[in-house]
Amino acid sequence: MTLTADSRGRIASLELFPPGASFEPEVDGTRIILKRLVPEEPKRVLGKLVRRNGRLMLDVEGEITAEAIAKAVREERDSRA
Amino acid sequence: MKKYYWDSSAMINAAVSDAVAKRLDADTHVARAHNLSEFFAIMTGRGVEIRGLGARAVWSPKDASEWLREFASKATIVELTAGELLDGLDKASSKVLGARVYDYGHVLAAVKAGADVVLTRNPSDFMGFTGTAVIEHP
Repeated sequence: MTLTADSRGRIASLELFPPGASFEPEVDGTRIILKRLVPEEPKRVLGKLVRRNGRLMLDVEGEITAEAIAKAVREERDSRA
Repeated sequence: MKKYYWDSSAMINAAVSDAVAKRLDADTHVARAHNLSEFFAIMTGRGVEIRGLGARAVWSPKDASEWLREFASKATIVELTAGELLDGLDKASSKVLGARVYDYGHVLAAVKAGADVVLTRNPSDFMGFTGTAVIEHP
């Protein structure tokens, strides 16, 4: 496949470059490597199951807000849509 | 004594908040069997965001199951038959479309169980469908 830059220095390939995708170029002489940037998955922290005041609870460093819970459930339900 | 229906957001809230978990010590509680799967999917999958850390809290499958087992010992688990779901969809007419069917399933289960209150962190999912049951944050 040959890609030719247009008069404004743009090359296009819908197959290689989906709209909105971001790339990081690496130039090495005549060689140009485009590395696609993908958003990083958030880190996962394994919580502990602890018994507090006689009840089993999730123990994890930091605060889990009501908004975060609502969002997690909404994401799960939407993922099945 | 009131009867509370717990959706999975309320259940997760109970897993992280002493004040919410305490509610299970009194009154009567019901949840749908489906909620156990939803809770498990979230807590062992994508998890729940931890404020300000850019990370999500998850549980091991064993810990999630153990928590659910304790929850199930305090709540009556209800489920819908195919007929109940289909009758409910007939009644809802065009108000329930697409993925709202999942939310509507919770509503039907809550009504079937005779719940006085639906506990949820996503009240808009249930608005207008719960009959005489009121919607509250857990």
